[in-house]
Amino acid sequence: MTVLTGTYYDGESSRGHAATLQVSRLQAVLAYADQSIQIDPNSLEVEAALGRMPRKITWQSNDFFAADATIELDQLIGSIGRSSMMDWVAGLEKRGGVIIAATLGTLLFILGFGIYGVPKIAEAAAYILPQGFSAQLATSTLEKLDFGLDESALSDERQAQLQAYFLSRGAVDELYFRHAQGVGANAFTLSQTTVVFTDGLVQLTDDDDELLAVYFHELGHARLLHVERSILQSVAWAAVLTMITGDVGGVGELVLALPLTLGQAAYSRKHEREADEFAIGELKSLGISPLKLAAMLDRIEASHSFSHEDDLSISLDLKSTESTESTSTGPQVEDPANEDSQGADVSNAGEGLAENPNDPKDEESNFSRSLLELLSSHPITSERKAYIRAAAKDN
Amino acid sequence: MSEETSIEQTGGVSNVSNVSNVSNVSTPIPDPTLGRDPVRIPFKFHGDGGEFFRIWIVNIVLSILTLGIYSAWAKVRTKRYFYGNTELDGDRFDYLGDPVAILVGRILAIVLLVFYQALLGFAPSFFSGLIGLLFLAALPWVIYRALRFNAQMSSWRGIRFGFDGGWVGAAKAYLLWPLFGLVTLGFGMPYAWFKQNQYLLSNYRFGASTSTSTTEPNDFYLVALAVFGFASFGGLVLFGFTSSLGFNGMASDGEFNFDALFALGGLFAGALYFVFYVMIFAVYEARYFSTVYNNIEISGNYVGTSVSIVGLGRIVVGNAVLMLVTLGLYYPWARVRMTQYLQDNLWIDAVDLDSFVAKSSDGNDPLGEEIGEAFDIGIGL
Repeated sequence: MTVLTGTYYDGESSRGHAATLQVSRLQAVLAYADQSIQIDPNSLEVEAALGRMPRKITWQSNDFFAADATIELDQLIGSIGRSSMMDWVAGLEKRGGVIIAATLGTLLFILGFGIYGVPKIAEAAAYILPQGFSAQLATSTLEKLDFGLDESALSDERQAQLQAYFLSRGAVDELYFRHAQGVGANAFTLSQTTVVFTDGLVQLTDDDDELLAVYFHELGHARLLHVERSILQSVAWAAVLTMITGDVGGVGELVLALPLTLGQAAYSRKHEREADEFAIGELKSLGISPLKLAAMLDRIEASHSFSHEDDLSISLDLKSTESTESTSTGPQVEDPANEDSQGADVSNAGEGLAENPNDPKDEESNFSRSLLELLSSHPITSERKAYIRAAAKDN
Repeated sequence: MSEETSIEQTGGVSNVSNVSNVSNVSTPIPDPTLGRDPVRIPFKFHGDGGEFFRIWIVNIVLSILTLGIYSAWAKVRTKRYFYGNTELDGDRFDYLGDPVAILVGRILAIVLLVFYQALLGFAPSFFSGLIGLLFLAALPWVIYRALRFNAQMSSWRGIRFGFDGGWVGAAKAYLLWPLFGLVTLGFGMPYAWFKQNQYLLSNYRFGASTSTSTTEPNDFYLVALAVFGFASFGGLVLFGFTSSLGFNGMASDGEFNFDALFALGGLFAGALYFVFYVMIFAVYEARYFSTVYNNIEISGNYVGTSVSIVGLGRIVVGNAVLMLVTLGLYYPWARVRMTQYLQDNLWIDAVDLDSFVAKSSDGNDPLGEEIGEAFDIGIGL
């Protein structure tokens, strides 16, 4: 005979009654106030434990008994001998080893999925996207960018000449020139259809082959669908995390976006490398030295070291738009701030995230360098140059 | 939706409707609650972060191992944990959703979603517009069914909640009025919130008793004003502060210190922006919650709350920072803390909670809720 304490609900009126349930092999008697109910003990079902909550005992009727979680209850369940899937789950929850293994396993899974699964899925999806998506994407991004950009001050002839020169060597649908106060020398890929050059970049050199090298780098981003892939990656990542965690929203979403941001930076560095490779390949096939790209990186770096203050205000600007824009739910498909960083450009070296190649041994510098590398969307410029020079020698 | 859900949950909880006027036909005794002084009955939450962590992590692992199938069970288990640990007047709430039904709904929702995406991808633009319109027309129905399912699966003292709003009401509250808000450049949005709240609270019921809301449009304009004021004033101050900070970093002379200072300064500024963003959310959430929950009136029983911007902000910022630091593993504690705070600040000034009667319930319909979920519609108060 087991005696359980708890609360009885008659299923019709709302008040619960303090009650006891006595269960033996032959009968079960529920007693509350001055009443008692006979129940067939074989019809009793005890719901699985959930934390230390009272557990509901039912008997195929609208009324039920909520039993305090006690040792007697565990004994009763042992004697009934019926066990559901949820009892098994509750058992898992009680075992410390299971919990530790589950925690580590989940972290490993998410890490592995983030590193291998998400890029693969995004790549596959990017190639089946309709072309119209990319065009639409570029249009809306350019509209937003144009708030901060002016019309190009380059002469129409110069623009037309560069257009013809670039596009004859590798076509995109749209190539624009813009005057950008503060951004300085820069180039953006907006999607597979569209590339934007700033006047500052064009004015940085008299050698059109150097500009072509930059164009090839951007073309690499465009051809390899890097912008589209970055967006799809955030979608895939958000979808998976939502599936795993069930429901995420509000601040939770913001926090889950952090590994995504770091992950994006890593993907983005990989994309830069790929775009460099693409540019090197194209340059070589035209008989132009890849060193032109390295030279351009030097120029861009030099141009930016004079204008750090401007760059700072810009990066802050971007940050603030980002934080307000991401208030809406779900992945941002048309976030200009994102696109700008994903949209990948040769010359972010100046965004304050530049490395300082002169003193690599300094510890503080190493720390900040690895920090920067973690956050940066570009590989360290000196590394890129070294890579390009090595590739140039391979000839 | 950590916070949202907990609010939604207490939302279900507090739509307690009244009962004092339910006249009993067989006994013509005058209503005993008339003129009775209300008694303040607080909500109590018994959840524990560590305990919920175990449930949460096992849910995640089983969901991954079963390729998502278990997630329906996981959802029910989570909801039951929060409902079952919420106590009012000595008795706890209960969530009665059936995982199998939820799974079926979830599969159907995914099929529909894939179908929709496929049509969008391959149909000519004219058709995709048409499909978009059809989809838009189906939304209110989905929202309404989701609200109803969630209410019907919630119970207290063995009596279920319910939701009687139709899809026409949902169309007005969730399409028409927000559209009005957009057309008026946001100035009509608080009015849309007001309409949504009216739709929810004049249709929720507990057993046979329907709730009402005593909010007025002005209340929601005050919410918007608080959020807007905080965001613009705080944003201005913060921008000025971080700019000056950035320039200080610039001014440093040492060549190699430059990077470190710049990086740390940037990180610090980023952290401030993060806290600021989180606080905007907290201001909105606290003001909206207070507005809604201080105005639920149930012929005699009144819900009340003392949730404040400072109190909620402390929880939300703390939670956000700890979740960042722990890579999200703090989530279960965060959710429990949030729920704990909301319930500690929620009560009912009750004249009679004892004589609610059940209403014979309508059929279960998880489909609506699951479709709503797959399309990521925020439902809740």
